[in-house]
Amino acid sequence: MCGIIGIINLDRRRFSGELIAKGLSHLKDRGNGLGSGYAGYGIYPDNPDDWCFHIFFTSEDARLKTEQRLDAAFKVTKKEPLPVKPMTSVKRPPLIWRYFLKIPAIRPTSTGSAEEREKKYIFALVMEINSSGEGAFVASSGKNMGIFKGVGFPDEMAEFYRLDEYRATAWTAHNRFPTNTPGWWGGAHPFGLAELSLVHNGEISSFGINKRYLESFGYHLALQTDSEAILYLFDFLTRIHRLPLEIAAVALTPPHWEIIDCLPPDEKKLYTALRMIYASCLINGPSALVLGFDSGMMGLNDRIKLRPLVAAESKSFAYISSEESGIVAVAREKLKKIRHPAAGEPVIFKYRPTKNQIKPVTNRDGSKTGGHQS
Amino acid sequence: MKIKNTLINARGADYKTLNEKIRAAVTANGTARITLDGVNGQRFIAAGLERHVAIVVNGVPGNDIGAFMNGPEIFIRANAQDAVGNTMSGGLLAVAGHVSDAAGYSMRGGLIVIRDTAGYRTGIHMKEYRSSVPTIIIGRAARDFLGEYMAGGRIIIFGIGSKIACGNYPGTGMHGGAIYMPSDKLPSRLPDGITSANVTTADTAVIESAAQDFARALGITRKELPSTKKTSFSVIRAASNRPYGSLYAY
Repeated sequence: MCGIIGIINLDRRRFSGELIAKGLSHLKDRGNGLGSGYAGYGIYPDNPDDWCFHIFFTSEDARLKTEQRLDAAFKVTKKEPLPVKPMTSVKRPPLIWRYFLKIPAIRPTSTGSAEEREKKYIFALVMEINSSGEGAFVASSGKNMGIFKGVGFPDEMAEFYRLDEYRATAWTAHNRFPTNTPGWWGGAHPFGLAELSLVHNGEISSFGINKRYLESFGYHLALQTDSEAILYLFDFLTRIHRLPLEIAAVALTPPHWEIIDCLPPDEKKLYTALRMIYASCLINGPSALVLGFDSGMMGLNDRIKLRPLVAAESKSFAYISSEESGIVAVAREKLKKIRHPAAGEPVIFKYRPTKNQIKPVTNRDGSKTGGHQS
Repeated sequence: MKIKNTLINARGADYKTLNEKIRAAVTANGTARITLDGVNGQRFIAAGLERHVAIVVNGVPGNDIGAFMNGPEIFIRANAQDAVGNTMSGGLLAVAGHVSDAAGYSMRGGLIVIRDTAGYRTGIHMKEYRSSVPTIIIGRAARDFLGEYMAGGRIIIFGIGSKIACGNYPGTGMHGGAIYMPSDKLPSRLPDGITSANVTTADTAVIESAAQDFARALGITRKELPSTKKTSFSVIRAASNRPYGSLYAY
């Protein structure tokens, strides 16, 4: 079953983790205590330019081995156990550490922009650590964001991770009801890779083909859930193939062929091409998800709408949740535009541009227009 | 006779506590009307109730409101979530808003009235038996897979304010019952195994009766709905008694 919820302040004002915990706790009946978690964006304003890794370790030995890898790959600016509140209801948590890291100069032979090269570097490290077999799992690896997750109910995980001490411009959250794989700390949602985070309600029958496809591009799936594959598909499509999110969403949840046949020629051509090129990225089976990224969040349903998803906006916030009541529970302002997105219809909320972020954009023909935020 | 009204504050209550309060109010002598204030997301409201009682819901009720019920008349003054009237046998569920997916799931009798749009798979697995004929009436439109695996009962859509009355794949796997909508608002493609036809006099009587029920349940006038005299309606039915007989036979 699972419950998902995301809240974003469109003006980039940070708000407490208490609010998302309240929202997720409202969806308590959608989970069974075997996994809950939160992703917060903008939570580390003191270290906004460092890559921040939250890592689970099964032993001290695993930590020492992993730190050797981190020391070799990064300049570690700060490391510390993630502050948690020991609780009797939270059974056998792993060792949880937080690292702030800087990437040394990357060899100029790498292609792509500096940002792309850094993300590629992060990707390689995360895959290396997760697949090392050393008992270390990277919970999050982005800049100025972090993921707080584990085995427990939503309120327990919020209290355990002291979520009320964090303030974010956007939060996503997940309450798990595991059906096909064990509930364990690394398998709780959100899943994170660089700035991307994913919460997912559902199960994908296409997991096998998605996994094989991803493995051919160097991805290692180590977390025992199908949802991990969906996160990596988004990473692959947006980072390596540089597709806009809207197009990546089509690749994952394309229309049926008989619907494509009835579209105008241009759209028909686009959708046909996407289905043929990205056949192995199609996710089949019930899914509702929220993807978090640097500049906002996106909600998406599966192709035939087998899971619930509702979106709404208010003056300065936007919300995506499994249930309308979850949104009502956390809304601080009057809700408007309550939407029930259609199957495969992405709902994207991005931060509004602030004055000093609006820069003129040079068009292909050399002219300049008012500009927008990326 | 003065109708006794019981007010229950649902704010912050979990679904079990709230339903216990509702049941206690229903069994108390003389209660004919219950108002639930501050409802937000509590599941199974009035599930399994078998008494004739009016329940007014202020707020967004949780999934499965009216599940298995046989008798109550529930008026929801907001949107409702998934599986409204799941397997209900009798009574009324009126929603002054939108409902999410699978409304009337496996419905066996009674009436569901939805003012705006109904989500995916509305009326999935509806069935009827002799005089027990479930009915779903929708003001605006329904989304994909309307009446999926429908075995009986009736769904009437008026298409008010919508170009099309339902999404793709209505009546997929349907082998009984009837779905009515304005002819000019039929979707362009219908799945195999079903047919659409112009309505008969008997069908028109069903639609007219639905229009009156819809207006009464939501407190509007009959005139706000399309006239059965001026609007041409179509009906979707299974193409034969056994439309999928050869589906798995080679």
